[in-house]
Amino acid sequence: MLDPKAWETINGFTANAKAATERLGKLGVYFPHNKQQLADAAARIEAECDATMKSLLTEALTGAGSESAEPKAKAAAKPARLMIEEASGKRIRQFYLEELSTESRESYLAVEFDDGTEIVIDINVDVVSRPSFGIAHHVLDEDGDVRPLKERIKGSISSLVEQQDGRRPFAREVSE
Amino acid sequence: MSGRDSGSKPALLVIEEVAGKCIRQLSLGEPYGGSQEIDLVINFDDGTQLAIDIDMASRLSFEIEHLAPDSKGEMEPVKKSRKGSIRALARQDGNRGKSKSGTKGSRA
Repeated sequence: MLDPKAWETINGFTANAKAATERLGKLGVYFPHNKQQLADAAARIEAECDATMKSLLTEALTGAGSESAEPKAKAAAKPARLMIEEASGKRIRQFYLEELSTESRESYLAVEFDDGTEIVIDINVDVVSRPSFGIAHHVLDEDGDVRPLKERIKGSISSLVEQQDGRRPFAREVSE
Repeated sequence: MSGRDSGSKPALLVIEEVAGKCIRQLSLGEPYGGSQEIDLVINFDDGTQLAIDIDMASRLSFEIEHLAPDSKGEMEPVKKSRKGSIRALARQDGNRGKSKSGTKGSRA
């Protein structure tokens, strides 16, 4: 049986791939005409390496009788879908996407409903960490002020599915 | 769609085609953990669908597609999809949109 701390250590190896792809991204300084392509490639390589590493480790460790690593790796490799159930049955008044500034790594998708509530999904793409999502459900009160209806949730899609799986109305996992 | 963009100020892209529609299901999906590409899918009561593919590999890029079932019940695009950053898509749409700029940052 694999020690859970060992699995955390193995996961830390992906930092090496991240460092390599960051160096690749920095090559854009020397090849400005290809800067965007290099940055795009670096990000994709990092994501693919991470998924491949987890998948291969799962295969290897399954034979070793790992009970803790397998579920984590399988969860990372499989598709995830987060159902935002609060939106079901509501009529859209306005749906829009917003980018705060050209330098911002954060954007918003907002759905305003006829009943005066809204759901705001913020997408944060940090160059160091994984993309994360925040999902908030608001209501506009009589004064036009925005009040939260529910606690905002935040994380990757798979982590939100994992956290919320069947326990809160914001999310549940569906088999695909 | 209509959009608003002014240099480095907030850019807003309103998807007008879905106003007034009733949502059957709204979901966010990813093909695998840590993927740089995710999708937001809204299924409407009238059988149509809005699909937004979000590419987070570098700068955020959005591909927006409106779909409806064909005679066989398979979802088909009803208009050509559009792809780009929010700012680029808003710029294409011109200045017809109503500004919401700056409102969401304080709500998150």
